[in-house]
Amino acid sequence: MGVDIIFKIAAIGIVVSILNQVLIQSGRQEQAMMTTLAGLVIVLMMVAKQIMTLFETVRTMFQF
Amino acid sequence: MLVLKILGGILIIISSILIGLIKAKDFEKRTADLRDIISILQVLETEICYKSNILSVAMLNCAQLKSGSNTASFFKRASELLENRDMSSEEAWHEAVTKNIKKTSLREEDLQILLCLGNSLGTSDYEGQIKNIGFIIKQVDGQVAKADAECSKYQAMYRKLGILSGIAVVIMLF
Repeated sequence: MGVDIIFKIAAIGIVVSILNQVLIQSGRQEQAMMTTLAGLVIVLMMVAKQIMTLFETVRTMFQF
Repeated sequence: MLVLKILGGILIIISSILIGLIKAKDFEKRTADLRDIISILQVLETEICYKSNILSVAMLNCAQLKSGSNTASFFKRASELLENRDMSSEEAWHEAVTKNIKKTSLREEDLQILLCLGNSLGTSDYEGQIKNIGFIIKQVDGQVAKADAECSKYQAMYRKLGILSGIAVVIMLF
């Protein structure tokens, strides 16, 4: 798994927050909220993949 | 392999920066186009008032004066239509504007104002024409002020959006 997923999530977080600020500053609040939600969904998908791998590993562990 | 990845990432960032820049430039061009229309209309007013040329000749002269910009194409096309076919000046202007609006960066509301001009073009006497053109110039002036405000607000925004979305895409792909 490594640390690169952590870096990816951190980088996406930074980019989404900057995008959020830029859009709020120029008055488009709904689009700012949409980009925040989109970033959240992307990160959740990445984390969900890892959780799937975790469950598989646990299952194979307990089947000996 | 890593070099190819980096190269691809750089290409994506450059192309999204360029898209942001192009969108930002569109706002600038709208202001420039609106200002062009004002100056051409003022020349038209002078032509009608002092030289008493017929509409097609007056429009051709105006178009030649500002032949660099895209808005001159309205006037050129309208003068061609007036000379070649048997349309009323209103119809000729209407067709010239609707066909050529795509070349400029003007919008729906600007189109409506320009079509308004055609409504009383060539119908009243020359004092009425002058008043009509003066009225349209005032309206376009108002649009210029609005476009200026929009321009400054959205230009910076689109540029930053371009850069940021490029970076976001590259991060997600890696």
